[in-house]
Amino acid sequence: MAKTPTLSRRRWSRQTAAHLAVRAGFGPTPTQLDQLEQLDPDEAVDLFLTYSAEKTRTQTPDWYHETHAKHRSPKGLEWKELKKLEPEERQKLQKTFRKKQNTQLQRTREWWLQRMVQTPTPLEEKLTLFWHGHFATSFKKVKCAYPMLEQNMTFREQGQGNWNTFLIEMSKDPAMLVYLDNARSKKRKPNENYARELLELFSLGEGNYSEDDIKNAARAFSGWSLKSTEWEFKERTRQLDEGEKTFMDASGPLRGEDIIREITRQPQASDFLAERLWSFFASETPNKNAMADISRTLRGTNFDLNQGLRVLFTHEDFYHPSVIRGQIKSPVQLCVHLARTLNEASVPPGKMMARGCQQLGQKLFEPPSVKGWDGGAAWITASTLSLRYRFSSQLVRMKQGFNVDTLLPDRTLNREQVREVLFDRFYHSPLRVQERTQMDHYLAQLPPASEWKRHHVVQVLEHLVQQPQFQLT
Amino acid sequence: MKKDSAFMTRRQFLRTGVIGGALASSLPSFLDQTLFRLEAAERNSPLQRLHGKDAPILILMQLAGGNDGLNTVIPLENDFYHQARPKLGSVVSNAHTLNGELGLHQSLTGLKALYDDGYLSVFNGIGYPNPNRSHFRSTEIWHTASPEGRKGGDGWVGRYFDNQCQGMPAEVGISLTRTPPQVFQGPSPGGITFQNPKQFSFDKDDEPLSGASVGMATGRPRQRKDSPLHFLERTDLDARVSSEHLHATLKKTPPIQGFPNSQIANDLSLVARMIGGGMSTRIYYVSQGGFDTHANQLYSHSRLLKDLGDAQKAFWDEMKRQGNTERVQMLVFSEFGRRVNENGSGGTDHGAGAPAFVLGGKQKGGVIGKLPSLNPKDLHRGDVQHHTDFRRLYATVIDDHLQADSEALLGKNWSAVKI
Repeated sequence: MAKTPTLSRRRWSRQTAAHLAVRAGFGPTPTQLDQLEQLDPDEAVDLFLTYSAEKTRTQTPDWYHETHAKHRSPKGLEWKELKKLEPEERQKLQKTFRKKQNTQLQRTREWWLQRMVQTPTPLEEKLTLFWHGHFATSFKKVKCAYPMLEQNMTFREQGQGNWNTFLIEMSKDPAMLVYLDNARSKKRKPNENYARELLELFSLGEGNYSEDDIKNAARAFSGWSLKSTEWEFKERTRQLDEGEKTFMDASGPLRGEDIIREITRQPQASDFLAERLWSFFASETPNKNAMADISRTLRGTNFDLNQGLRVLFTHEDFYHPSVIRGQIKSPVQLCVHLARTLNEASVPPGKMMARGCQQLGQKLFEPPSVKGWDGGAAWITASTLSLRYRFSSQLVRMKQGFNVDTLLPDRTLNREQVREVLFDRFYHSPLRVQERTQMDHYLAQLPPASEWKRHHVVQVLEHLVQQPQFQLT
Repeated sequence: MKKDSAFMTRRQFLRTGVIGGALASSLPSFLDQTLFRLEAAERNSPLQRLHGKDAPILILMQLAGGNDGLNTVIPLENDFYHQARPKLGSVVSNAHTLNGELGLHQSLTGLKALYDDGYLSVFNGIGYPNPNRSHFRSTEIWHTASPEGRKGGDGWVGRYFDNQCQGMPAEVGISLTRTPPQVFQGPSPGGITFQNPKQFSFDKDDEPLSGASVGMATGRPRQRKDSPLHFLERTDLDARVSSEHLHATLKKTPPIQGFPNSQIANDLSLVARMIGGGMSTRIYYVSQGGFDTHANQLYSHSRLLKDLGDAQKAFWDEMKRQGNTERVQMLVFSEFGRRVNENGSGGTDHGAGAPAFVLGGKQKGGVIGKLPSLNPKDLHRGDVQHHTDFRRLYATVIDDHLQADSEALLGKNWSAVKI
């Protein structure tokens, strides 16, 4: 197997360490950055990759353990039973049920964002966000909170594991079965929605399959459905199509598992996944060499996702100057990163973060389409940019937003030194001469740092976060 | 900054806003050079036509998700249709008859009224060769006007901006969407995107200390491949100019009464206000979502069409009031139609070929082109076959309405469909 070029110890610096932390997580807290800088690149990457997602089931929003959480309908009643009720009674029950689902989902959203800020295992959260965008499923259609949270847990448990297993899990995932209509698919007239998106968006990419492949895959998945009153997978044998099918290079009475196995046998499978990983974690600009290295590793390890991620995060090209600070922050990245940078000791209110991210175009658990969020330049429009400035200021102005003494412990610094400290903290980079000069001009209009009151610091921070440069990471 | 900015161009803005401000001393020299270039370009170009008050305006509306054409423009007496759609074919009974053969879905009362007034042309059998059934790729094909082109290519409107609108402010194109539409992407970036004008403002602009980011702006890059930082700086500058202008315009034109309450009606109402207020915008882009009806579509599709028809009616009533019916034209399309056969879940899967609409006062109106055959032996893999390439429709709006050169924008001479 060809050798993958990895980052040399020589190039490990405060800036490369920060780069790893913003991409494999949501940015370092100041303390973490000091620690990361002292490590070897391999050790630093290990620190991110090593965690056990299984533990996370114990840390869930409180409603998850309620008795009725798993129900698909009010009181877990069958549709037949619901229909027997007086219409008024039924509507009341359904209204309460819907309201409860909305509240629970909102709590889940806030729970996740706060978890991203506080987590000791940032890659777990970043990776979960990646899979949420990859296997995009929306509460708007699923309408219940339980399966959305269950799916989020599956991302944590499978997201670093084996791709083949993960794809089977997702094909049986209750939220997915409803979102892409497979739960309703019938043997006689199979619904093609899931089969198409599985091939186009989840595993192989457009152009790497035929229309017949879609039709036959849809047949193979036709009996994969749900229990009628609970959010749990169920194979409906009556709707299962056990007839002969041809899918790609396989023929026979193929089942869903056979379709997945055949997909992962295609050479495009690892290329597709490598491209997705590179595009989310590194750069919108494809890098043929790095992507080929990741793809080869995935293929060579029977699709061990953790090995693929290791190659990505240790790859020399991942630390190329065009990759560092070359990514436009997603709304979640902007929000969580800023919260982590501003204050290690407190977390912004979940409600505020959720509302901010939603306004900026990233409503968690409600991606805009099955393709997820486009990311990159698509985050930025005339209105989202102005909203970004306002939202960032809001985080800065919050009461617990930051602590002046930890932000600027030494008040005797001169103007250039203050600028260096602030750029290091908020941009993780000294930036270009023109931005340095501009910042110095700006600071020159203020009293020296030794005389700053809190409102001066707020003003300077608001200025720092309302810049095009601050949108990059 | 000057508050009377109704006719402010980018150049004026740069002068009065940025250069005139506290930042003049630190103005980078490249920005200065950009100004000279812009000024020279404007002097020598035949742009005045575009600045004129009577310049044509085109609205593009996408029915996103793949509209079920056969349940929108419905064949009234067709056995093949009923065989393919035992459940969904029930919409025939209440359809609004257009001619003996076809009818509009009963929810499209608004469109029917426009049809009767001669404001609506219904095009049958629109599509392209080797139809693609992916939402994203097929949308891209419609936006780039290039089924053969590579992924990520420029949009035809982006080429129009580059070709015909050099020197115009960014608001030459306005998209009321979540993300910028690919159709606006071009060699020199043009167009701005926002969803809600209320959220789109830079309220701290007047504080001398915080407006500094404009000073970092590098003007409008010419390269197709913007660096992310250039892109951000340009968007920042464009957004500041347009938001000033937009708010001044909206102040002049109060919200319009009589629009229904739906997303698409809100968007069209906002477009109507911008047109009435005299924005220099040439192309508006709006999108109505939710047309991906794989399951239980009878109710949901009917509701979508009601929103569409009612919003259209209100919009054109307002255009009549403004006296802008000839100046404004709207093209309504969807990335694909749906399969002729309904599926087992009361819905329809991705198909090909579909009707499209052109609305406006500068046409005869009517049904144009025959409904493609629904006979199973004439279908291609369960889909209708198109007979009119969608680029002929583009040629119609480009040559006859925008009075631009469709061959330059579409790369080939597509003969326009006469309407």
